[in-house]
Amino acid sequence: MTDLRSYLNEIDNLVFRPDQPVSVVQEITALQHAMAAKSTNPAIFVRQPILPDGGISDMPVLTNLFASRELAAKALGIDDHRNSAKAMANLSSKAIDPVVVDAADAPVREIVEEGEAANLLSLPALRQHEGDAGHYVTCGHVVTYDPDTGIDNMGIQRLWVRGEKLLGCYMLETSHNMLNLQKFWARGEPCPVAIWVGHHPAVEMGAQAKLGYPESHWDVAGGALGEALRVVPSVTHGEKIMVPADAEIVIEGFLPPNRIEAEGPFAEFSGYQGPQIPNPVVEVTCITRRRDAIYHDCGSGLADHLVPDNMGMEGAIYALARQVAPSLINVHVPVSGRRFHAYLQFKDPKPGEARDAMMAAIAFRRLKAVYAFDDDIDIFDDREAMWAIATRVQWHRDLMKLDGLTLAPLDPSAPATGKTITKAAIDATLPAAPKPGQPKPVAPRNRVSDAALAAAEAVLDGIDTTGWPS
Amino acid sequence: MSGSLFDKTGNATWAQCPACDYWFHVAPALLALETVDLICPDCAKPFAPADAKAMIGD
Repeated sequence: MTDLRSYLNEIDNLVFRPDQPVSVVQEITALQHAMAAKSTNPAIFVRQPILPDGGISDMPVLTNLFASRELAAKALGIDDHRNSAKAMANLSSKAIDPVVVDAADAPVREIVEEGEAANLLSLPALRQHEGDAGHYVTCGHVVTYDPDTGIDNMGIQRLWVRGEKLLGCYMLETSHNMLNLQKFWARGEPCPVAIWVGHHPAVEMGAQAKLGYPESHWDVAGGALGEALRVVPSVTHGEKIMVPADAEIVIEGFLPPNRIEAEGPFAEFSGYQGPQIPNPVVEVTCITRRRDAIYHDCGSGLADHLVPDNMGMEGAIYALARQVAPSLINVHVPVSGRRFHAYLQFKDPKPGEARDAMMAAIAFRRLKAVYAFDDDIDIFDDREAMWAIATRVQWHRDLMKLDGLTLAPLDPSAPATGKTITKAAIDATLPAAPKPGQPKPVAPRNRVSDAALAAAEAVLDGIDTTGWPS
Repeated sequence: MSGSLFDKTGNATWAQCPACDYWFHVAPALLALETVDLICPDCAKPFAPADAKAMIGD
């Protein structure tokens, strides 16, 4: 069985477990901010979360699980995170059908709390940032189904814990879960929903693959895991909504028709607070969990939140742009650009090919700008990217602006009115060499020889650099 | 040049809670519904948009 705890055992020495109690009100998230400032990204396992009433939760909190690209890639079986674009682009081709198991064989059914016994306040949900409306379930995989076909959908959505049995549920207007909800509501029926929390990170990342509608995510999640995902019928909805048997927690309920309430504000992926908006609510019918469940939180707006989704974007953008540009060799969606920027890397692109690829990539809804670089630029190093932009771009020639494209959701700089924006593509590639094997017709970059660099590294080997000026 | 395409005009709407004076960020789409109460993130008071103590940018 492959699950969250088996993964935590694998990375045991990469998990920070503070000895002291830490509050779910901002303090756990502050730990993530403090670690990010030190450029260190271990998973964080808080054994003694302090609840809002001052008590200690019996349920530990795990967060920062996805903050490291290296760890996230390895969880998916990718040796080097720099290869995630191609690997994620091929994720769907590795799909493995799920297997249905009995409830008696499902760890997530060890505890079943139905009706009056179901209490969301028993979960150590975090109030992450100043100004957040309240405590949020941030790593809840929301499962609904299309009433026309019975095919389920799954996506991570922020969930505001508003009471023992009530969640505010952020549903993006264009999301597939919203399409399902609208179909149920058009029939005057509540939309059935189940929300699972905590599993092996490969399952969580595979579950976020960008698929068509309606298309189930279970087989792609299993493919990402490398084995058939074990699923079990939910208590409330039976086989209509399956949930992972090896998850940590499952919350079940309904989204009652046309019940729209205020939700938010909430500190979002952009690094800015998202406003209070109208959203549906979930009325909870049942909570099931493991006896010793781990509550998985995801630090909103931090690398923990951005890395897994950005890696998924890399796969989708690579697949889009590679169709028109065989010279495209890699894609990086950097955390520095949130989800608004993508770096495309080329090996000897033909004239116009980098622009072709950027036009294909910019169609990805979330992007506001794409950049083209040569293969001598490390697209995983923002300093190199900025150096290339500074030294290889002439703005009259290399900047393309495209008007009237789809708005990037939650873009804090988006115009107050209107539904489209202007996007940009910046070509920072060098002109091609006159002939293969000849130098490009530009000044060569400064460099020292590999031998000299190796000698320098030998001089520094074993030297304690602590305290040296940065 | 006033009112040009290049003026930075901002895009956020703020409401002030009538109970605790806390200012918070609200979406125009929520205000447009009129029948849905805002909820103060600070004191949890629900109130109609028309009952906000003050608004900025609506």
